[in-house]
Amino acid sequence: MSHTAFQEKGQQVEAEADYVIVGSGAGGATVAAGLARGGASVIVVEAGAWRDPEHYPYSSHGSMGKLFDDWGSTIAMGRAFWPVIQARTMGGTTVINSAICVRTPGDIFEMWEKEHGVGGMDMAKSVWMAQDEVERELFVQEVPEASRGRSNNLAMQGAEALGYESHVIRRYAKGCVGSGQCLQGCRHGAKQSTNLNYIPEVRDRGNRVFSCAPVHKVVFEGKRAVGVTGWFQHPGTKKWGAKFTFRAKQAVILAASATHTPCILMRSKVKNKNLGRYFRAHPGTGIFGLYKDPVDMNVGATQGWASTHYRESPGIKLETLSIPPEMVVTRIRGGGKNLMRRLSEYRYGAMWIQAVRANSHGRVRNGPGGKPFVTYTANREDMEKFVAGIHLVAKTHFAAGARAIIPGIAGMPYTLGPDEVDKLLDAPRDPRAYVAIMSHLFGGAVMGSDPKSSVVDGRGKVHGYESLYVCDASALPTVLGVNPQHTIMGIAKLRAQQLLDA
Amino acid sequence: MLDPLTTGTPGKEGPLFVWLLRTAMLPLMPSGEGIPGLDPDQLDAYLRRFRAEVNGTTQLGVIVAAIVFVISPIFTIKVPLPSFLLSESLLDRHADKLCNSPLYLVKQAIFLLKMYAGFAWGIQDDVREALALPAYPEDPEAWRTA
Repeated sequence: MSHTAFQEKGQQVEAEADYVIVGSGAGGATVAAGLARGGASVIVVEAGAWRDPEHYPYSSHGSMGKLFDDWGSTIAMGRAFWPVIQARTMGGTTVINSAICVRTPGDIFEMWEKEHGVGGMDMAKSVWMAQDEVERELFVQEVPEASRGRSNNLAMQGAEALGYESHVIRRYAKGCVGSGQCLQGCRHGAKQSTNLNYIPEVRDRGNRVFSCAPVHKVVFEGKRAVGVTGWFQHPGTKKWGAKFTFRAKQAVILAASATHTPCILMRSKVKNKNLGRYFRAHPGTGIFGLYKDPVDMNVGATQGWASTHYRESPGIKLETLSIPPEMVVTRIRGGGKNLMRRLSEYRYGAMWIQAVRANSHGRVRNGPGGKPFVTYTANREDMEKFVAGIHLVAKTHFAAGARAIIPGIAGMPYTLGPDEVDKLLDAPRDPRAYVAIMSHLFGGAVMGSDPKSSVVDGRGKVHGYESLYVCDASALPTVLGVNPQHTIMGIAKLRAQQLLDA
Repeated sequence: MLDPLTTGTPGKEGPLFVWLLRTAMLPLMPSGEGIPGLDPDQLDAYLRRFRAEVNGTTQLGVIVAAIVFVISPIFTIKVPLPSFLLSESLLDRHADKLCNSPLYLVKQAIFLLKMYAGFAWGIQDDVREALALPAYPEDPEAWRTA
């Protein structure tokens, strides 16, 4: 069988398989591979193009245009406007993230069971077993010492000096050379994004993969999902092409992301008042440390150090995150000569971030042109955690020897010295004071036993419909406090087995 | 006054779109502070790429931000002139003050302008060299077609 990319207008593209899977990222690719291994026939439908590492762009402009969803222009609108980051390419966000692998914490399954009637320790054990397999298949390992780079090593020193637990990040990566280009897609092929493993495996097992094919809606016969339909879209010109209809003999599985899956369900007229609700994230921001000697943060792994020590209280995760100079421009205050003087210190800077395990939730709606329209405002409690995280990152920088930090907070000085770090405790609690991003997206089609408060049941099936499943982060009813890719993959593997066993 | 060849003047440097954006972007990232600034010729090439590739919503946002940049010296430095008629020192003060605006919507618009000015700046070989980074080759335009 084969891969089919953009098809011109004037023809009708049709195909049929046991399962039609919408999305090729962590959820879609993993469930597709699981079903294909079990002997089921599958069709994978991806909205973006299929790019191999040699096709990945070098520049940030290129990666925003060719790998990100709609130029990264989806914004969570609320008190502040914070960008929602996700990909639109074969492999989904696994192509542009840092491939961080963190097992689902046990307390998450307990909380899901207590608050949503799903999960529990039985599910935990199954997911952890699935995660064992994923770790073997995707070569999970610590960032090698030779490719850590100075920024990651400094962070480790800072955490050790302050006496809190931290670790070298484990990632889905084989042979990382520390090129610092995770966010533009790893051109060395070291990062094990799903376009390099599960999707080719699905195709090689005799199944069909379609790219450049954004799904418009699910097709129903009564309450039973029987397929999907949409139009091909050219990845360069964005012009629309042929109509496609893919029929599913067994089920349609949506794994198009926490923003697109709810929108597809809404466009398909699925009736559920919780659809699009309980959209959550780990909002985060970066703090630069300025050091005496060059750090050259873009030498070494983009993210190589993390700490989950404060995951439960106050509810934050700390990580390094190196960004290229062109992305630093927006993080540095001022314009003109003032901005350039500050940018001239780029080599001496290291950016480390905090991401909040936020309780706030927003909503995804189907916006004009089929684009997700997201509303979200971080509440006061989460902003308290946000400020605590910034303070911790700043303290870690100083413990690692930084001469100053750049907090990037409106209303505060451009830099703070070691003796001024506690001024951050009085930083504004207004989300508008921060340049933040919505990393790690959750919800919108949440899982739960009660149809009155959820969209899908404990096995991912949409309440009130037959043969329609959700298998991505949109089904996760809470945030995790850790990077979600491994949880999405573990649950997707479990879903594949459940569907094969049914 | 700034050299019109580097700041651009209407009708001389091509479409109004390119003129407007370069008029707003060049003063944001000038040369001469120990690091190369935006190169006018490379910026023009980048803006043509921007025009051809970037989605409409983003282009609209950047255009609005550029208009704000051009018309706002009266608010930032109390000079009733468009930005392209300012002296070099006044233009620099205007750029810095606008980027530090306390108004959230203005701040967001300028964020977008700075982001794309930054993208144009960050692909310049001289900038990458100054920051001890290898030059970016051309972004590949290919993807799997079968």
